Amino acid sequence: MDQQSDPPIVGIGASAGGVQALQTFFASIPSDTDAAFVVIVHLDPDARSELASILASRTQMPVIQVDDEARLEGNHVYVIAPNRRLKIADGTIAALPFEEPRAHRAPIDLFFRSLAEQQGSGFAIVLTGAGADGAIGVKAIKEAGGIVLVQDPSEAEYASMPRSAIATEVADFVLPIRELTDQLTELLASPANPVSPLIRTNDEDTLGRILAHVRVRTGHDFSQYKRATILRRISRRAQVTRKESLPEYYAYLRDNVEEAQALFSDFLISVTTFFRDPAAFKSLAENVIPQLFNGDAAGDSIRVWVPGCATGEETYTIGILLLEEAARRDLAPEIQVFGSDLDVGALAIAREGRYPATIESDLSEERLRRFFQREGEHYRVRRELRDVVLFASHSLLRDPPFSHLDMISCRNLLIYLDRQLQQQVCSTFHYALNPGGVLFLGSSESADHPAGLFRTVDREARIYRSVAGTGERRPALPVLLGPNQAAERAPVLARPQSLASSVSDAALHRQMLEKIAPPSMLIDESHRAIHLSENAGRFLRPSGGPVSTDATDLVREEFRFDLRAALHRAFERNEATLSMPILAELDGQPHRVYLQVKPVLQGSDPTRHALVLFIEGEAVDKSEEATSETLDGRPATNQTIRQLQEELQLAQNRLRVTREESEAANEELRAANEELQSMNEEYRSTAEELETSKEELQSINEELQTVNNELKLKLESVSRAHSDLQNLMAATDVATLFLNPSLRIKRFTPRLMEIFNVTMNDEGRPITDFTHQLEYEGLAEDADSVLEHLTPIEREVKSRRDGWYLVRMRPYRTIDDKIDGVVVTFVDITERRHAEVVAKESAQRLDQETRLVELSRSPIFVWDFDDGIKQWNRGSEELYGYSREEALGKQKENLLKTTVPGSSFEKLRRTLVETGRWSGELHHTTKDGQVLTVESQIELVPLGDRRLVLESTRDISDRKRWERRRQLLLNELSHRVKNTLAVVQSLARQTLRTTHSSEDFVERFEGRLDALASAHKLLVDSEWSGAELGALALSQLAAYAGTDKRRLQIEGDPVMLPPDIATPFGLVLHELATNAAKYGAFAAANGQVSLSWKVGNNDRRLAVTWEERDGPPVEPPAEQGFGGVLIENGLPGATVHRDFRPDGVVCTIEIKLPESPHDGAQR
Amino acid sequence: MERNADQNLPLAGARILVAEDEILIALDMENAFRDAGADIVGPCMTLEAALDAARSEPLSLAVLDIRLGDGTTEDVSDMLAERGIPFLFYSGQALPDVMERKCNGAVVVNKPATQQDLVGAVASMLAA
Repeated sequence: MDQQSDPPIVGIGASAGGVQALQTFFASIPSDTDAAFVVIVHLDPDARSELASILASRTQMPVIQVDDEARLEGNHVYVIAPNRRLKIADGTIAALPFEEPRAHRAPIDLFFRSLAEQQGSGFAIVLTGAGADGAIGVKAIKEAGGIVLVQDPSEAEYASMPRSAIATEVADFVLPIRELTDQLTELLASPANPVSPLIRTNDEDTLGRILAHVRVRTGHDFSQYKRATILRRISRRAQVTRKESLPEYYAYLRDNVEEAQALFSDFLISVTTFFRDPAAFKSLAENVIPQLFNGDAAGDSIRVWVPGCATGEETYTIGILLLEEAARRDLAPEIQVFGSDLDVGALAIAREGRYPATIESDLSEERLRRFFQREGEHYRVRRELRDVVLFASHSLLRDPPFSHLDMISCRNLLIYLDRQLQQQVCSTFHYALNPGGVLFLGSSESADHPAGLFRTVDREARIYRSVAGTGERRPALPVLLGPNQAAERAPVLARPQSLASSVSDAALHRQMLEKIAPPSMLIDESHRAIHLSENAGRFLRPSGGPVSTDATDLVREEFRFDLRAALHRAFERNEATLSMPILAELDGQPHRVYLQVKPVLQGSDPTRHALVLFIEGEAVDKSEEATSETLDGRPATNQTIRQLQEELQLAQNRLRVTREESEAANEELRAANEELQSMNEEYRSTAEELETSKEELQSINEELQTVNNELKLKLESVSRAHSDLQNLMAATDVATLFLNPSLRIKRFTPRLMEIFNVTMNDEGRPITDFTHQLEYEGLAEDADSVLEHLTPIEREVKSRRDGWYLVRMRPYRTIDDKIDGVVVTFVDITERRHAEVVAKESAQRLDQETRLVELSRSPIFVWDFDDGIKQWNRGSEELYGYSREEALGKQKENLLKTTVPGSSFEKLRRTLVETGRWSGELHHTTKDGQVLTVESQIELVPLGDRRLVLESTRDISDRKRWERRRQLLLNELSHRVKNTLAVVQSLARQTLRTTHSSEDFVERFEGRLDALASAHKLLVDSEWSGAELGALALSQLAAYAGTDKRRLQIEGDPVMLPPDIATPFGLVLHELATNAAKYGAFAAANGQVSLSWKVGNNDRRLAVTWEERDGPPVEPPAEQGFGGVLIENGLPGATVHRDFRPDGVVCTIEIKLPESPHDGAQR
Repeated sequence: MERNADQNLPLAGARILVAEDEILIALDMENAFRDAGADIVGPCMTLEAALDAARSEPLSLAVLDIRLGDGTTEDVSDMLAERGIPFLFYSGQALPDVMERKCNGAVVVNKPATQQDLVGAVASMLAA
């Protein structure tokens, strides 16, 4: 990694409330820090994000939304795009789609992990947000050596995310945003990595001191961890505490007690997740796990150990795989997974089994459902899984391992250890595993060293199988490191560096010492020989069998007993010992050898090492030896006895010593045993207590479950009731107000707000506090009245907006029939009232119209189609003559004897039904029998189940009559004209017969025509009723008489001649007159005509006399002219006699007059 | 001018009843028929006279005015129909519906008609 060109990367994660927080952040961070800022927030995958533009207004740094790829540059801000995750690789940032559908819930974790993988010293900042995104990611950052800053939860709008990050205990700084930006600026300004100075050899020393300090304070030795990791962790702490160099940091470490713990925690940081390296776990599940269930393990138990389990994810992962496999088979062997770690805090988390919801990105939905219980933003391990897993505090390097294991999963622990330690750990694993057991390592680890212990099963997945050692015999427990680190290091440390100038002297000195000093052996506290002097070999004789470095196994048999005791004393009591002389065969000769054992004391520290010196004594005399050999021979002298006694003494001494030692050992053992027993007792009682509490908890749990269920049911029922209530209120859409007994508002429906000035917050306040729209002053009084008398009150009340409300008040009864206030409903009856008003008005109108109809003179009546007359107005009474009482109830067609000219009443009724109306002429008969022709308008009105008929009639009898009369007149006229023409025609013909010349004809004809016309005139004047005889005579004769009254005398009472007599009578008179003018009295100047008549016999007989006098002498005509014919025959039914007296013609006419005068029209 | 009796007398030998209440028309008809060689019964100027004649007189044909006096000549025509005597109407008005139905296609000569028409109608009826 080139630190110069790549800018430091600051990852900022935020969620709910984050926009505000980010704005504050970027407003206060300077634009020249040279760092690249990456902002990750939770975005709606379907919506556009405006975050980039929002932040751009707060900072001078360019703000870019990463849609595809971008090269990371300093003083730039990069923002995540919706529905994308961000990944860093080689100085570029890329936006990629999510692989897991659930993974988009934890984009911050994903980014932090990516950041941790790529760069060493990134910065992770967690701001406000709901949930726990980022909590896992910051641990990865920390492990990689980055720095974690978290917003102060008390300042954050949503404290959940900051809190979750803090709970991982990896937060370096927890500050409000503005101080956070200050801190970050300082950190960015300080040199990137104080690691580089450590390359100097001076600091090797300081490092050692630091580690030693940690060991002293925490009891854990990290001197054999990977140098690079250790340095990184230390430099990170140095950066955090702002110490520029290692010695400075060491000084700080020494002066601050908590720093040692912090550094220790940092050393222990390991990030673990569920199913870390899923491919490897897949291989494990397919290739290894099934086999565990086969073979020896079937029926027994399956034991797995996970050292360095930290927060337990890996342990639970293995548990999940085993449980899944067990479910696949019907077996249920006992499964035990042990998780162990140094970090007590991490173990607590593991035991708790509670993980943030962000684990969803590592576990399938099915596994989450089966093995975890969702608790808000967390998942808790279910009992099934929790029961198979056990966590214990354990140091891999210090404590004896678990044993008889089928599998060990130790991933990403060995990488922190140096090579030697790795190998030793591997050996330990090999010891702990059953033959054929499986070792599962992390992705950059291997079990190849020491060789021969493991066989590779899957190199990719790092799965190894333990190779069975040497036959059946269990391999001896390899040398484990004690509390102190391996001795290899110790001599290095113990031996100070010597100056170059003194090397040769020291070497010479050492050489000489070596030559002269007794052979020696350096022993460690486990009684193992760790260093031999040059000549010590002669005192050693390792026994056959596996090679051991145990001191007592190495030395010659003769020394073993004494050595053991001496070592014991040296290490337990710090006592140096010098043994009795021991006979040993050296160079073919027995020698007395003294064993001197001296503990190597270092101050008050417990003895770690002892030095064994083989002090070679004089050779034992052969003779003595020889003599001692032949015990059964006599030559045993006093010397022999003395020798024997000496030996016996020695033996007795030794025995005593041995007995003492043995007793001491026994004592110790007994004490130990007692201790163990009491511990055992304690443990047993503790276990029993735990068992009891477990049972108690179980039953409490069950109780709680039951209570919980009950509460749940109750809650559901209440919810339902509440929903029903809400819906009911909404459905009735009625403004309702619930008041408590002191008239305070309990609740109300939203519609009430149209009437009262209340809002949803006003519950609890007295209703009288609020103004309302109604003209209703007595609301409170009415409510009080209802409460007191328990009877409902109802009022119709006008509102100020011209509406009307029906106010109903009733007491509020609880289920147990207690009165708890008042319920008031306000029903909007505006429409109803308006309808009422309208109805009233229309009723009044109807009334008026009915009265009008009543009073009208037009005959209007109403009859029921299927019944009788219902209404009969005055006009009907007047026209038809029936009173109302007489008419009502009668069938109309019967009462009025209705006939329909040209049709029938039945047809009329049918038409009414079909079309609803009928109009036309009807004949109605009045009460006095008069038949009237009426024009009738009829309408059928259905009214409910009745059919009413409205009929209005108009008497058109007169009109009819006039029409008839007119028709008759026309006919009459036509007839008369034709008749008259025929008469004229006959006059013409007849005149023609009896005249002899044209002039004669014309004269006669004109004269007759004239007479006819005069007669007609009189008739017309009388409207054809007739002509009075006198007037007729005058009209005919006046011309002949001239002015001389004496010539014509007319005498007689007025007599009316009917038309059919008047016309011919006129003509007759005309003939008489013309004859008189030609031949008679009118021809002479003195001639006179006298016309007289008499009516006798009841106006029936008319006798007319025409008398001529003083005219020329009369001669009877030779022939009968037409005039004569006319005179004698022209009057129908008359007797006419002409007497031709010589002095004047006398004509008598007797005619019978008809009885009564006729109405002309009736003819 | 006097009409000379012609050799051609279309109504020769016929006895014709004339029912007409207008004397001049009746006289005219009488002349016309006489000139044509017929004998005239009447003219009957009243309904009674017409009925009497229709009942008892030997007739070849009757010429009736539709209106006679106050009423119509319906009874006369009935009587004539009974007797099987042909008749025609000489009138200024149309046959009333009742008589129309009874007489069923009776000949009606409209007044005023020429002598020729009238005599011709009578002649053709007699010939039929």
